[in-house]
Amino acid sequence: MSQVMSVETIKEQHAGEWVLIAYTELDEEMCVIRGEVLAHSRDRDEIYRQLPTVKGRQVAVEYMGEVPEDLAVVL
Amino acid sequence: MKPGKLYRLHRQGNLLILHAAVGGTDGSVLILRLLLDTGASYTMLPVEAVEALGCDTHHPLHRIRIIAANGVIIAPVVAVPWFHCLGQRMEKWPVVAHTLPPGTFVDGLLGMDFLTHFQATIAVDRAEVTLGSVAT
Repeated sequence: MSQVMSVETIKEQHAGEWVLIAYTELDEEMCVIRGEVLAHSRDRDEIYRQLPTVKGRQVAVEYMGEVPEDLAVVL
Repeated sequence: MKPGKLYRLHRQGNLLILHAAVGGTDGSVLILRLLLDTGASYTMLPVEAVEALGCDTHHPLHRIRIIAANGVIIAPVVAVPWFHCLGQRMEKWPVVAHTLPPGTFVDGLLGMDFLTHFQATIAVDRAEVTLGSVAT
């Protein structure tokens, strides 16, 4: 059963995963402080597929990991 | 006139990342991680996100060609009901609907359209951005 958790707890439980969070508290930089995990996956696109199911809610998509040091982004 | 407000960014390696909120007309609010990208002409959000907010990517405002790493792609430009980033909320803000490849660890890009509109000054070394002076 899902419950409202701190982002630190969410990071511990879902390290390296993408999570969809129904947030209850944000800081001024719009980082989640507390919320309920609605979905989690190592596959980002699986989280995106859940977006139509949360219409009317306030949610955040977050990655609970670090960007690998050997990854370079050139867009 | 008063100086613009300073906002802190999140540094990951050489990348500067920030959060933005985008909302629908039904009360939906979606917070996403964006890469601050002075190499991007437009702000870009995932197709799945803008469609979840009710935007019709099959009947966009217009389409644009994007020169990406893997070639030229055609992407729709849609107006999200509202877009909020760096303390600025814009109604009916046009964004490119395009989903970045998995593994980029961000959901989209904050591009030069937004940065120019708000006269952003980026302090790369301090991971800070200041928006231009605003009329009081």
